[in-house]
Amino acid sequence: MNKHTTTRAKITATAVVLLALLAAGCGVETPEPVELTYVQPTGEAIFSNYVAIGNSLTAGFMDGGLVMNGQVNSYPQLIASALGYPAGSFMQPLIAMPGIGSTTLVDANYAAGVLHSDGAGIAVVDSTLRTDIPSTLLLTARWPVAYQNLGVPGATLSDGLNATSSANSQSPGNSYFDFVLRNSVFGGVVMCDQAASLEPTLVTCWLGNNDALGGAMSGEPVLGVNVTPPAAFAVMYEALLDRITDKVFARTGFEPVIITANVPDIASTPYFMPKATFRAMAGLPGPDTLPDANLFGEADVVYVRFPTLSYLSPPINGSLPIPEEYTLDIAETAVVQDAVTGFNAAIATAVDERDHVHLYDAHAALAALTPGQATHFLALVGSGLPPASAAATTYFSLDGIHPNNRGYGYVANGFIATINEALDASIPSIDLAGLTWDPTYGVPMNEKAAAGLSPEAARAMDAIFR
Amino acid sequence: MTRTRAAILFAGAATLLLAGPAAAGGFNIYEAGARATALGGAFTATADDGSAIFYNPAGLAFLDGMALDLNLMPVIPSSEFTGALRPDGSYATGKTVDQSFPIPGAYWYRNTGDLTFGIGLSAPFGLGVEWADPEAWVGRRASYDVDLATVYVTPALSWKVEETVGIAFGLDIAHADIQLNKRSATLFGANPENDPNVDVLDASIEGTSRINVTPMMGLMIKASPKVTFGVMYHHQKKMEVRNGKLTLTNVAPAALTATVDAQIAALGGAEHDGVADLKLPHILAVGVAYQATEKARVEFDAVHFGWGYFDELVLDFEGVALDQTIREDYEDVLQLRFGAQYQVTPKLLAMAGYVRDESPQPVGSMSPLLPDASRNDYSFGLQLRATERVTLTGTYMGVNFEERSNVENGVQQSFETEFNPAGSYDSYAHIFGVGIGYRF
Repeated sequence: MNKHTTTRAKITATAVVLLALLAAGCGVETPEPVELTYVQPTGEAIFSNYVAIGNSLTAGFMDGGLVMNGQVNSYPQLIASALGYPAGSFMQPLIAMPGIGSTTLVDANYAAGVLHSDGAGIAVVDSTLRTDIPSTLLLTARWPVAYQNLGVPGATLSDGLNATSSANSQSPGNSYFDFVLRNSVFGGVVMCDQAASLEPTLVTCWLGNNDALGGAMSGEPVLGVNVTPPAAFAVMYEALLDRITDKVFARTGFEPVIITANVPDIASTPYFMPKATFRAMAGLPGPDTLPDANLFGEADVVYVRFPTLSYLSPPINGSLPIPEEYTLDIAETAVVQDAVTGFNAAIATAVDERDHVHLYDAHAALAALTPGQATHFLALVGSGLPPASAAATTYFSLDGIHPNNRGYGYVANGFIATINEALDASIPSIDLAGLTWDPTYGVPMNEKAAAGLSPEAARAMDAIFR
Repeated sequence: MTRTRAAILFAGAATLLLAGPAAAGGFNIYEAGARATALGGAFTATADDGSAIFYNPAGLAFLDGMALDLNLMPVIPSSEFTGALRPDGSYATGKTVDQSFPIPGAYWYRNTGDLTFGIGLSAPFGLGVEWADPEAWVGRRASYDVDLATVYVTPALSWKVEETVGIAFGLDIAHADIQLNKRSATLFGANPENDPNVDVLDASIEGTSRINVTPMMGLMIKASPKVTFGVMYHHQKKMEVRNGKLTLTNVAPAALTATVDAQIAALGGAEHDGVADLKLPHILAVGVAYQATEKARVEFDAVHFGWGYFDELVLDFEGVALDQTIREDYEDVLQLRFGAQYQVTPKLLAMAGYVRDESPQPVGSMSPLLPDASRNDYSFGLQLRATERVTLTGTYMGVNFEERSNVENGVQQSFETEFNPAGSYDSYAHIFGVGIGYRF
């Protein structure tokens, strides 16, 4: 090897080493994250993914229970249909007949179904062995994601934020939490987080009713005990709206449009009867003959709860005066109505402060019902209306608190009108005449005997929110 | 306008199929021999060892005697993914597992006067992308593990038409083996802080193609003592997979097991037969080599890949619900290859190369299955004539992918965005080549 060759070999070797270093220096470099531009849905896209949260009113609770016949007429389902969702594409926790009511039966192994008007009065349609409920009643329990209708009967505002099961809800033992939230599957996700997990573009929210009703229906409302203090309500309400908004934004980059409804007055429901209405329905004489002091166990009664009719009827044949848990006096009524006023002020403030949240004034809407629409079926029948006409007149179901098909259609139209106005949209409203309610659930009625109220039905009403 | 989650779960099952770009992307492997690889694959006008059977069989016409060339080129790829920023400022990451794919190149030829017959075994197309931690890999619904292997057996006959011109014809007898694994996930509501998707189905697809035979050919012209031209062509192929098998496995959390079992039953069971066609592009290389001095030689090749042929992947399974057409829309590309060699000593040859390789994959079909990108390759190698009969070759090539994102101007450009995550990929591959040549 001469000198020249040696030099070339060195040059080559050097080049090879340099190339090796170059190659060794190359490799994967972790990319920097890029930014996506997130687009807020507009126009039709806002309606592409609708989710509803709420309580029994949202679930489609009707006639003292939850069953498919009512659920298919829940206001969220009616809104979804109006938005163009094909049948069956808006998922609800559908429950087969006889449904799951809230009546306590003598045999605790059975769960009562919904109420119906059976001719002898209001009675439970049928019952189901509790152990059979999952296999026979819960039709959509295998749905792999959260329901689009997340309404849980009995849920309070706090429950919407905090409850994962009946056990940690404000109504322990209320199995609707387990049927709807299904946290045995999902592992502990509260209602508002389940809603966010669906990445909704449109949310309706109707919570807060039970924060006042729980106390009102006990007959002994006490602020801070069974009525939520409005100050606490205001904090929770804003937290709920922001939590849904933030979680959806964190996952999708857009804020959902939220339509929220406020809380109606108890006076808008047939369940809370003014004294005169109660006397008429119970067939009692006027105060001249039967003074209030002899009739009621507490003074200054304003409202009489619907189950009182059952208290006075066989087989209870309760004695007078009527125990005070059946009535709301002036102070108790004020506790409830002041709370509702406070809730609605808090809701209005929360809505005003958020551009993407719009208010459906359910308080005003239900107060605007005609007397016939706001009157209980039994009262209409008692006043001489044929049952079919009575069923076609009232907007309330047999439990006196929850709307019937037409009532839910009325609510749906209220939400739709709010959406249309807020978003400059033109969603068609529901044809209420097309919604018929059959309080018999297919059982022929004995018209003469239709005005009664069986004790178990009364218990069902008492237990609606427990 | 309605968006049902059931549909998503169902679609998830469907996409799992041979799914995704089962063999998407620029999955050509041009490294068929250690010496050629050291020259950056610029070998069409040189083609002076057994690997000529792949690079230009016309080169065989100018070789003497009988020889066996055995090459093994382990490819060690790695990729990293960084997801696009989420609204909360977080982002997903992912990386592939350490893998090595030994690419074979085995060639035998025998010269008998003006005719030289050769037969070779190579693997010019292949793919292997396995992402680590498949349960958490954000792209697992597109793919978490894909393997595509091809084997070409190429008999070729080369004829020295005159002292300076050789032509050759051969047949690419090919077979492909495909495996793909994906996950189907569903929004589960759980862990809303993290990945809300929970795996419910695992889909595994396996299939082998029928034997496919297409022509290939070569031409070499020694235009002057210093200048040689070469042309090589491998015809495009449609690999027909007719025995595809899709296996769906329920991997759902216990609470969803029954739901997913019902979904599988609704799809007609856990196993499905299927067919698919995998289209491979033609390869057309044109090269010119220049013998600058007695010891120094350079070559430049332009290699045209007919990737436009790979327009879509049609997956046809029994049961309409599982059928799928995946848009690929690849484009023809031209690779530029440069190689240089220097005879350092009579026994030692030094080689180096550079490749500019434009990706045929449009940004729309870039996915976890194959995050392709344009590349710059650098290579070098040494060949030692150990004895009169034996040569030994050692090669290294670094394949440096350009970082590539499927997000442009803030918008994900993917053809499919439900399962294909938005983000950026960077990849690199080391290729080590060893070759041993024996002259009988």
